[in-house]
Amino acid sequence: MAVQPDYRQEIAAVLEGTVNAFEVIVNDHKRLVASIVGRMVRLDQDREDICQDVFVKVYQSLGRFKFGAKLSTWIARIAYNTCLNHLEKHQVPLLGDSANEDETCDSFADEKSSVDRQFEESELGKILIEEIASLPAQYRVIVTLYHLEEMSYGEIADVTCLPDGTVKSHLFRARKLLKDRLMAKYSQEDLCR
Amino acid sequence: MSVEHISDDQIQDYLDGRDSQRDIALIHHIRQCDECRAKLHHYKMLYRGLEQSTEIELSEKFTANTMKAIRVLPEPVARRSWGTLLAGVGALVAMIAATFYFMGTTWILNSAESVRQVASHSHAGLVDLLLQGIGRIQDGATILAAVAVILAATALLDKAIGKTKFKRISPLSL
Repeated sequence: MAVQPDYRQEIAAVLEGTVNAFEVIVNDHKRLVASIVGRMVRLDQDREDICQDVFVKVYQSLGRFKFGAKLSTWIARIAYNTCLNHLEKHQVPLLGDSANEDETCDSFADEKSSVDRQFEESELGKILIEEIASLPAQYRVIVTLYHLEEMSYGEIADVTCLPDGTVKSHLFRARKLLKDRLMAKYSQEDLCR
Repeated sequence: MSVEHISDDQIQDYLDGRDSQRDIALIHHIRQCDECRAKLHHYKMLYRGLEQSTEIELSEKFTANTMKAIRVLPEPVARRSWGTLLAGVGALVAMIAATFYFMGTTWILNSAESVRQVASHSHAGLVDLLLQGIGRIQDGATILAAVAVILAATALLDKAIGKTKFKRISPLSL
């Protein structure tokens, strides 16, 4: 596994007045920030502004970073909190309407021996994006941090300020919801043809 | 053949690689159970989909625009840690203790006596008593020198340990 940079030099340089050193931090973390903001905020026109706002906050509070966690975890936390503030401002519930959470579909057809990979990567991908977007914001971000950013439960707990057990239960519930919704919406034949 | 089907949580644990103890039993069951095999397959498809990147596309000028916004901001400043503050307080206490050790406590007793006398003669000779009290403090110049040394030592310690300024950073709702 590649050793993650800890950005001590860049942070020290920024705190000593070399603003340009911050550009490395922006470039190395903008994908992470975009990933979190993209999952939590639905309005396209707001997203880039929020991403920029995240880095402004990171810059302003850089002196508080004590290297107790990875810089990426700390930045993810700022991105998460910035999105929470945005959702709160627009009165978007964090866990959404849970009325549909228990919907299940147990009528699975038999598994086919081979799955059309091209279909999986295109059609299923599109379907999933829609279904993920319909999940509550907190589920969306936890799923994203786990599967895309490959964060551990502990790291996600640091970002979201939730207990590890809650992170795990949200993650499992979100994935079950997605699986059930996909199965309910599309027949096994559609998914595997 | 096992009758109980595998739960969603067990399959997710298996795919997350978190329950190797139960993996053998789970695999054994899946080989024989069409329903659980289908469920596993659905989760595998879901996992593959979740690993597809869907982050928003930032504009090409995002970094440049962000840096432009940042350049007009005040310089961030490292906040002093509690450890540094405690070290400073500790040094101060140590210096005061050293002052007592080398100078004794007679001057404090004399000062206290002076204050007591001032309090008991509130109607007459107040100024005289004050001056008398001050005069009775032993070696006042030494005390002043000690205070100066304490301040200098604290300042030096601050510079050596902190290398930071006493300014703050703007509060954030983190």
